[in-house]
Amino acid sequence: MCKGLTSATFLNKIYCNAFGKLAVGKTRYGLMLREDGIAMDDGTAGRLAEDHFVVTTTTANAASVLRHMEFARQCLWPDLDVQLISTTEAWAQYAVAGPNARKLLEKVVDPEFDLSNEGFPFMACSNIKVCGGLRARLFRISFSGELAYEIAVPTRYGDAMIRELMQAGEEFEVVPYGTEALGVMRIEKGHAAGNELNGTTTALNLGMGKMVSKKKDSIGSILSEREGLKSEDALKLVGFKPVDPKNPVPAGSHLMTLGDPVDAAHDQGYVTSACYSPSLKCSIAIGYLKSGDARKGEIIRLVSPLTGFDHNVEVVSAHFVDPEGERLRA
Amino acid sequence: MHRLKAITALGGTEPRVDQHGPITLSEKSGFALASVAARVGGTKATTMAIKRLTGAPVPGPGQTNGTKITAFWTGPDQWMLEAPYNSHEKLFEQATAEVKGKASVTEQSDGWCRFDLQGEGLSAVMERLCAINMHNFEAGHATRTSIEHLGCFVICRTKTHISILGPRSSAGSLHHGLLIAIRSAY
Amino acid sequence: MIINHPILGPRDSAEFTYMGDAALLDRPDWQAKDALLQFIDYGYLRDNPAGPHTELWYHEQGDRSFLVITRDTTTHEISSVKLASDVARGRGRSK
Repeated sequence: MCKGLTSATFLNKIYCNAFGKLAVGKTRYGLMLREDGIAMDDGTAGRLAEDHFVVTTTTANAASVLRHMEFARQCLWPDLDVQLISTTEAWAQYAVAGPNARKLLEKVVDPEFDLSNEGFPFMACSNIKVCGGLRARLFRISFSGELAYEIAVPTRYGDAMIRELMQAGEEFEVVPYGTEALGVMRIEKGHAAGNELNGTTTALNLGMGKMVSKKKDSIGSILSEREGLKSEDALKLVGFKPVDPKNPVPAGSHLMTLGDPVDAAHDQGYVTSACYSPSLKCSIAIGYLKSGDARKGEIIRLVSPLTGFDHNVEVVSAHFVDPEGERLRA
Repeated sequence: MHRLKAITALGGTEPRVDQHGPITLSEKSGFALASVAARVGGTKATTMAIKRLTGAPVPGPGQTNGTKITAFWTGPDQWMLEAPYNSHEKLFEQATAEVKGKASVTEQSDGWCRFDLQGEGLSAVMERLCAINMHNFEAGHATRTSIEHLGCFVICRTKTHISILGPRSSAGSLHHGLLIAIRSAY
Repeated sequence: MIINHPILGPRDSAEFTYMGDAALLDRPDWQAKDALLQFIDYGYLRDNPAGPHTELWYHEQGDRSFLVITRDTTTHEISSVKLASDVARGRGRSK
């Protein structure tokens, strides 16, 4: 939670992309860099009022991001009007995802709130009421790539809320989904997670180089301009599909240009996240490849001396499923 | 009134009470919390607002004050308000109205679990749990420290009554730690 | 180690997180002509004194204040403790 009269100015310094003009009632994806230009964390920030943002982080980074923001607030910009407090524990938040997500929520959210695609479009956020008057928050954000919402209620009602959602969803055959399923869906979408934000990668590597605004002062912006981080053949996040669909594309494997010797000097990159994709009916993966964005369609050699894998994979876009994001906006 | 039923931080429908030796350990669920952080230039207005809400002088560092609504100091220019949930479910709205934009107010009622330790000889228990100097920790004192690696607020109501507020999702671990300390002491 | 917090008095160092050299307060001007070189110095160059060292400690399990502490690296004796926000203002970091 980030409040205060200059909270937008503050978030503009914390995130490398622009936040100053985010409209009230809207959420935006934000990328935080360390001062050395390496990606630190990503998440969304929703603007519930002119002076009130809800900042989300990777779950495991919540404490370290708050620490980083407190450092910026107290040590770097001590006279900005911004107040921070953790609200992680205060809300129980559920993702409701899939083509019937809106229909399900309409049974739970109080009728005075308009959930239509026009009334509550992709990336909207709002204070709402549910189940006959309970205060709640709704965010139309999606990590899974589906039409999705995240709904938050006071923690003491979290248990009752999930029961309510499951009951309301019975007619749509709703199922609980865990992080394993989410992990597959986010790879199919090419969404970065901890494996990609691994402490060595920049916005450029993630394919978000253009997001780093040069019109403002943000942490990490200047040092991300270092020569070594901007080389012509910098690693770029891409997708991989096995040439023989029976083969896996295991994470940790290294990538070699066909015909090159298999040694560190010729290393072209590595696989970060892999899964079997039920949508594509084969194993898929995302990872970093030198000049990867310019090599789509190339067949390269995947090697893993540790496990003995040695076969060819095709370089593809990391966005395997719904690359235009039509499901999100449905 | 909405149709959802609340559970306590330990997951029950009723708060849990444990008794061991001279000490009673009670889970508390009926409290509302709101944090108040003064905005730039708003310290005076914020302290006046807290005074109006609590009917008592604003607590300084390490202190708590108030009657129906109480406040305790949580950091430079920051306080937490606490009140009974039944009568003050809308503590957040009440405080927001009172500070008139001079402070940021945040709903915290569900962010914390609360356990109360009551009985003679609380020092022996507390000294096993944290680094607070129990020799001069008296009624009206409140501080944040680490208990079982969790950041907790410790509030001294009277010499025989201490409240511990910890992160709600770690309620089970905190409760276990408190029980172990009581059993160790007695 | 006991840290004499300027607001809260003596507190166990276990409540704090060490956050490195207090030179981190002196973040360069992003619009300076040689900003890149200045930021490289800011990011990577540290003194490593055997003796008094000025450093940041974060009262993470307390009131969340950042403190600027002068600690002798050979004895752990602490000779000065200040609120980092006050020090930052003193070094011209307002606005």
